[in-house]
Amino acid sequence: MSDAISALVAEWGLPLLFAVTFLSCLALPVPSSLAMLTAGAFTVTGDLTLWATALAAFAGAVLGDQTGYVLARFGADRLDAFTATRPRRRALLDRARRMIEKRGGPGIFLSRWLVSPLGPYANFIAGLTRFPHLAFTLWGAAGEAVWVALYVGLGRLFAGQLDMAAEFAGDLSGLFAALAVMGVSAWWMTHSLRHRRRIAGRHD
Amino acid sequence: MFALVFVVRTLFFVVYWSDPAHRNQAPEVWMTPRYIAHSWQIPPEALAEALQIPDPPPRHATLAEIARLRGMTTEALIAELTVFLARHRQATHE
Repeated sequence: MSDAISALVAEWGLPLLFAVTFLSCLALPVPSSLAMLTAGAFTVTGDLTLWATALAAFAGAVLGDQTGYVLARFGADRLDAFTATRPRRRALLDRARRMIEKRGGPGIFLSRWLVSPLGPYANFIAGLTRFPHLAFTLWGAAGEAVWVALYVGLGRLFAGQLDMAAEFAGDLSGLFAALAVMGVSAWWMTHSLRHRRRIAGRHD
Repeated sequence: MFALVFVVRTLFFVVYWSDPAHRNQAPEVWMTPRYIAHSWQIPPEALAEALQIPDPPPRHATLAEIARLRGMTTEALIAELTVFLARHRQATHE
């Protein structure tokens, strides 16, 4: 699998890298991290140029995010029409939208690179809840810049040992995912503890 | 707990990788001559000569492409290259 994508990157270069990052932002199962690692290594060996490689990966990712977001905005229209005559569902939707508008930005940023498997779904949710387009674009582009820098940089670091870079990247994303789960559960525990104390305090 | 597993794996990996003997990646069909030269710390022109191709190599030339240009199978090319790399390593380590 890793050989196949590396061969494609070697043969088709930047258009392929662009296509892979674009598709991966739409939840298609393409090995985008391996493609970026390989391309990063090729920038060291002189087969590809660094700035063009970074630009191709970044442009593909940002356009992919925008496509997911805009598609979901059409869904938002249908959701509005559907909930127009259902006040309870409407209230639930409004609540979700307010929460995402208030807290969504960092979530968009982190779901680009720290928990990147969630990225495409974050795009759809942002579109469905009408998260402001400009804020989505800015948070998203910042996150994609980190994502591209991380993987292309790792590819450069391990330029002659891509087989190991792939393994290392797998460990790293596993570590990130584990840390994210820990972070969320820690937040959830302190949050519910505080909530319980508040309720207990009210009864005293 | 899971985080710990990945931390240990990552540390193990870094230790393993920092051993120079583990650095050279065996040639495979997708590799470009420059990639192999980098992985084995060989001057690109020496490798180009061994592969009988011009330096700089043709654009996007992988081993598969070079084998096709030279009218041989990729297996034969990789076998030839493996011998060259082994000799090169022996020569530089003496």
